[in-house]
Amino acid sequence: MNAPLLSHAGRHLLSRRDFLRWGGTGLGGIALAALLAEQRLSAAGAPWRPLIDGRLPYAPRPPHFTPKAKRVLMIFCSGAISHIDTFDYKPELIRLHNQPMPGAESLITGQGMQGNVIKPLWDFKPRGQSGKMVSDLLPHLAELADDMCFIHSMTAKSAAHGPAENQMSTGFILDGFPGIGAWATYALGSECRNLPAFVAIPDPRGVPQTGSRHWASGFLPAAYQGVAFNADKPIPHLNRPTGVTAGDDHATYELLKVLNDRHLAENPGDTDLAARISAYELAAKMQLAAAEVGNFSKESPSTLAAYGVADTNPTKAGFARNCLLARRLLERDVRFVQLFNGAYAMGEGIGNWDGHKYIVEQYKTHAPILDQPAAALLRDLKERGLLADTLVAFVTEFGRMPTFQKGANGRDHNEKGFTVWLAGAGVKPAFSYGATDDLGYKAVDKITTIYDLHATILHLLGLDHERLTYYNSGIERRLTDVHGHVIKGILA
Amino acid sequence: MIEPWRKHWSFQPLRQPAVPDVAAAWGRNPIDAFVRAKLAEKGLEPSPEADRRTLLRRLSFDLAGLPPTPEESDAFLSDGAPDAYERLVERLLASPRYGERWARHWLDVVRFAESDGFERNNLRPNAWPYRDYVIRAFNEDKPYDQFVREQVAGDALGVDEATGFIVGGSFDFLQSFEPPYFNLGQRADELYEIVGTAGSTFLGLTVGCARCHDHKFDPIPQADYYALTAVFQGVEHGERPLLPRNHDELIAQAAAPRRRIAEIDAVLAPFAPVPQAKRVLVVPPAAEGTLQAYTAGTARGQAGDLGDEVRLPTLNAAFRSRPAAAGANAEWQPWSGLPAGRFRVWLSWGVAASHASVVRCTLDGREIARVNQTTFADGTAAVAAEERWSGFYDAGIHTLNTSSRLALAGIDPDAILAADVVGLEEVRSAAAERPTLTPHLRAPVIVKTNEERFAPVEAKWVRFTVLGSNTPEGYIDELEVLSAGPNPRNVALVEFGAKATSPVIDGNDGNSFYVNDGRFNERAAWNSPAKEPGFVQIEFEKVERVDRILWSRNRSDRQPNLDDHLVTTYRIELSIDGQRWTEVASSEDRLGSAWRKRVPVLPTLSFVPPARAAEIARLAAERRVLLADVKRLIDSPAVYAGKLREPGPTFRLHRGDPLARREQVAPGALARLGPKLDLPRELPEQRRRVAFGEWLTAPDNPLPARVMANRIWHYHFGTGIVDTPSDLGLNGARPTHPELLDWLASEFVARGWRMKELHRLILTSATYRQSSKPQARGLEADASTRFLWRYPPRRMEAESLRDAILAVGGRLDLRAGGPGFFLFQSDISKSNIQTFVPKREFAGDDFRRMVYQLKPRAQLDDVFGAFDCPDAGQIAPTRTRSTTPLQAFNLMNSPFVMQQAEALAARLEREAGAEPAAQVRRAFRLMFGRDPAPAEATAASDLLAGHGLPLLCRALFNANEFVYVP
Repeated sequence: MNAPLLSHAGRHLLSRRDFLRWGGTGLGGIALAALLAEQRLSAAGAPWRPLIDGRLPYAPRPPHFTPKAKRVLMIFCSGAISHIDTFDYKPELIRLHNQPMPGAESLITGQGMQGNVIKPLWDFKPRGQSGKMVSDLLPHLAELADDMCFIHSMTAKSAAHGPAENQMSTGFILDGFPGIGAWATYALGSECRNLPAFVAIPDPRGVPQTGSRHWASGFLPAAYQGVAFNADKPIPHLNRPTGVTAGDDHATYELLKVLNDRHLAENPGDTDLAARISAYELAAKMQLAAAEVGNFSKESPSTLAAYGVADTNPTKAGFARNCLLARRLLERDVRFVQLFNGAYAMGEGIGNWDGHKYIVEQYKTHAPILDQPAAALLRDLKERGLLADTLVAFVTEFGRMPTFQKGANGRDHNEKGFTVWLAGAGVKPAFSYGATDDLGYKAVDKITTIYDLHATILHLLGLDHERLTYYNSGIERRLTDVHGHVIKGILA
Repeated sequence: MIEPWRKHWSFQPLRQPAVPDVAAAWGRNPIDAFVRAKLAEKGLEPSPEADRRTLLRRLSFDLAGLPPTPEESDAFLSDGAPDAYERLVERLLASPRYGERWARHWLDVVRFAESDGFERNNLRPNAWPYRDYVIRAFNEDKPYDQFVREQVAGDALGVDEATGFIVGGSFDFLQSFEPPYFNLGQRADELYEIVGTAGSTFLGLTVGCARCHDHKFDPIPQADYYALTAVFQGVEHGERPLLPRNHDELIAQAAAPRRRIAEIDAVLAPFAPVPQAKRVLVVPPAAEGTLQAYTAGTARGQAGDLGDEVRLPTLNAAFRSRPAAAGANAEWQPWSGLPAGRFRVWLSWGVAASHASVVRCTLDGREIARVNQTTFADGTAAVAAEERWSGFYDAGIHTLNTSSRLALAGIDPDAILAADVVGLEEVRSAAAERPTLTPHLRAPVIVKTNEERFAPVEAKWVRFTVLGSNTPEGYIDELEVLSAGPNPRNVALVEFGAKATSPVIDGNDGNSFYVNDGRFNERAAWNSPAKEPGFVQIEFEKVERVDRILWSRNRSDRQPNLDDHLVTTYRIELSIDGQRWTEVASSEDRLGSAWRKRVPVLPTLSFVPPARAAEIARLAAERRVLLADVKRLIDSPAVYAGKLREPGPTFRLHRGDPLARREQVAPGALARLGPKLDLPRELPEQRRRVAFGEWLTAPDNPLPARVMANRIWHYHFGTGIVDTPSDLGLNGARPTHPELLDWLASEFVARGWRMKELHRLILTSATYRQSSKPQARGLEADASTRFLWRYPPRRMEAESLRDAILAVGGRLDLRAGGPGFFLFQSDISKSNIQTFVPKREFAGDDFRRMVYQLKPRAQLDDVFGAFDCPDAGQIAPTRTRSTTPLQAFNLMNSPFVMQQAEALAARLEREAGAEPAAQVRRAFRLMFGRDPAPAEATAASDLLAGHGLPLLCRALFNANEFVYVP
């Protein structure tokens, strides 16, 4: 019987409505919910909420069905990386170079009028066995094209960075919704017992445009918010304050145990109190584990060199350390890692992929920061066998225009068609899905939405996106709102 | 078949149910009978009354959000009177701490925060008056129905700041980019947020669900949603002046000075510097001679003189001087590049006692004037040891050509010649040849609003031609054309049916729709083509009589430093038929844009005859004093409570698509629930909100009382009788105690909607006074304590935790109200988005109660945010209560907690002396309101002895007993 184990907080995570509607008594409700969880199934389409033990909010929980992926790495290029200069090869742009874009007489995008069509700014070459055309902008990643499953027909709901970043990470263009990592860990908990279940790794240059909204828990319990740290900036308040020793902390925990045990004895069976005691135990373990995961001293010199952690470009070296940190987290079974490339702390296009004005110069700065470290990470995951049950998703908030903006040497925002790619668990390698038109302007074949992408990621984690819900303010909320279809065509 | 909603509990009329007749003798008031009956039904027993220490702690946190002090404990525990508990309740309800605590709950419900959210997330430094209003409302026990009405239409009820409710949510300042009418979609999203929050807050219904289609569960047709948007259509995000409570009285006092101002205005009106069809040029002396600064200061002719009605501001910071001993009668030609035409020539110079007293001014070798540079232009003597600007001297009307030589020459070979700007005022008509005090000059073009006034004229078209701008492509964020007469209206607004166009250039007609979309900022601006000239024109819906045009490059306050793409030369024309155009204003009589930083405002009147100078100066001075009087009487600080304006018509939008307008909708409320509300389409916007507020609180609207009674219960017990407090509709939860909720709601109304009355009822019930100790039978049958077989204990909220730490450490600063303290360093300098870096060191204001923090949206506090603090991105009618290791890190290792541990240690030393056992005892009394048990005392003393008093304090902050409300 699970019921007595549930704390007030844990029970709060069960639907009170179902509890009342089905049960009539509390007992019945709990039993039924537990039964459903055991069976991992209920009536088609009915909401499914994970059964959460409040003492152990991160305990692993069964998915809806057998998953292909145990964990997810999402690489998020903030600022919108240009698809037509990287992975979406459009020879027509070369033919129309410097001519007006056909049919674009009245085209106005965010920053105003469009100038002429501009050909890809880097040469494309066939790569690997598959001969996939990838540009020279990202030569190291290009070498791994055979591992990638491209979705060339992605579309976003907004062409403004904030709302679109929100959508790519939370499914909604508005603020206040839980990130996909929060949904995943709410559903599944974590196999890792001493690290956060969901880690966000901000770029060495700072946070992306919508900052912590990417990894916020929104209306989900705070336990599922992503913990943001990177190789050079540890978890906030993880470390003991100056002047406090391990011995001090040990003694402190001893006293807390005396106080809390006595208090619990006066309130026997109160699982909230027990949950808090276990949170402190987990914190103590995490303090050690987080220090260990960020310590690269046992990594081989060849690994360190492959990532470029000692590169003379400090930003690239910092991102390389973040990539290595990501691998070490995934290796330790952290459920969801969101790795950011690009930040807004320095302004538009300076620290990110937002190339409005001088895209060539800007991308010449950014591409080397991303390329070698991210490629090393993907290769490392593969070589260590982690890619077999890890899903890698390379995303950005939208694409860029095939034209230059009038009076500028850069491309404006384009939410109508862009590229993301997946790799690893459960997706077809060396595969391209969907297409934009000849100019790379608009998705025309197998048009795909961010909802579809999210549905697919959840599917690979063994979750039905229509049934993974959380009741909030009158609505049974989903990551995918009321939309989304699993992109079956890319499943291996 | 009857639709399910007709039978839904919360839509039924509110009637007071009979109190159950419970056989078992238990209870103190009718609440207990309802609870007891339900427990009996479930086979459960209530718990005994909690001990007094527990009750004190529970009540203190529940009502004040703070722990009881040891002195309060002693007083209550030793109070043997039978009504000791009731008096404690009264004391806490009367404390100002109560309003601070309960306002925080309300601010969750209404998603209040003090920044915009979205990517820019700009702060709202003037949003706090709404927070103070809410605190005051709770403390004053404002009747809830009035509280509701004020938040919807406080501007009509003498509490302007109350409408901070309407615009308390997020606002996408940047907006999306969907042409052609991107602002329509943006505005529709804003109204969705506003209407949705009003619906969830007051009605407990998810009204927003009916934006695209009829509500799937509740009886809310799509048309109702749009009727509600019509109610709020006139409210926009932004600030407006906060009117003081005695506003009417002050207005009355201002009437007399205002009448006199009107009289003076009538005298001065003919001299207003309105656009003239003539060139006025101000030519600075060229780079020859020595540059010499005017004496600093703001007096007449000093460098910072801003001028007045009869005196131009000092136009330059410095003049040029030709050194002495250049020779008598040697011509010095400081000005070059003169235009051709017939002009009145105005000379000016630097005034100083050391300058030449006779200076000849020649035009092409012919003397046109003699001036004395030891005096001002009007003959007043120089000020000793100072250099000042002379003002303009009328050197008569002369014909110039482009090769004309305008020169100065001295008579005394040793004298210093000083040259400053020369004014050239074109003479086109005989009327203009009468002498005037100063040349006619209008203010330079500025980034913000530029005004053009002219005699009323009928027009159907306006055309704005950009002739030049300071960087290629002039931007205009808005071009407004105001109707003549009282209550001027911007007839160029798209909402009134006006259409903007600009010519097709390079296959592109530009983005003319921005020019009359009612949006002020640089992103919503029309731009002229890079190769000027270019123009934009607007056709009004019909012929209008107009007399004023306003235009700007960026009128928003959000980016005050923009200074590029500014239109510097332009022409504005009107037309009745779109064929024949009449110029009404141009840049030709404005001071050049090079002066826009130095002279953004030009107060000087035009065409004042010298003979009337003294009279005009006297009237103008009187007017300034009167204006200051009026301003002092009626000037009001700005508050983020919404900008109000009369809106255009509201339409139902098919599938919520702002471009798919369907039938026009009148303002209204829900058609199928509560009383009927029929309002005319044209109702002024304020009256719409007043009517809606009255509808909400009408006796036959059953929802608001139920919703609020449930919220109050929710905050007392941790869970509502309905555990979806902002959804009492068909998709919401069912009440555990439906009769009890109806009884409470009807008592609430019967007792004048007084929230404190409801608190009293609940707090004095036996149900509330139960012990919170777990019992096996209760846990097994009802682990979440929904049926209240005990009082449900819970971890305190983030704000209580922070306040409690400060309180026991002795550092809590109880100063109430006013602007909030800020827990971040915000930085917007490096980019156009807001970044928030948490503070690491705290002092002063930071120790006020957390309800007084300037709370940014989507940015949680570094330490206490992890305790399920809502980020105000969405409404938070309930808070999750989770337990995470991050909370442990924050309470163990954060600088804030360490600092407070030191503060508590210092307090213990102060209050308990040096003896460790006494320090431990005092610590337990402060933190837990009790003495330590022997085992606890030993363990605590061990930590103290081995690791120091601050570490003991830090440990105690982390104890379960400290963070749980029993």
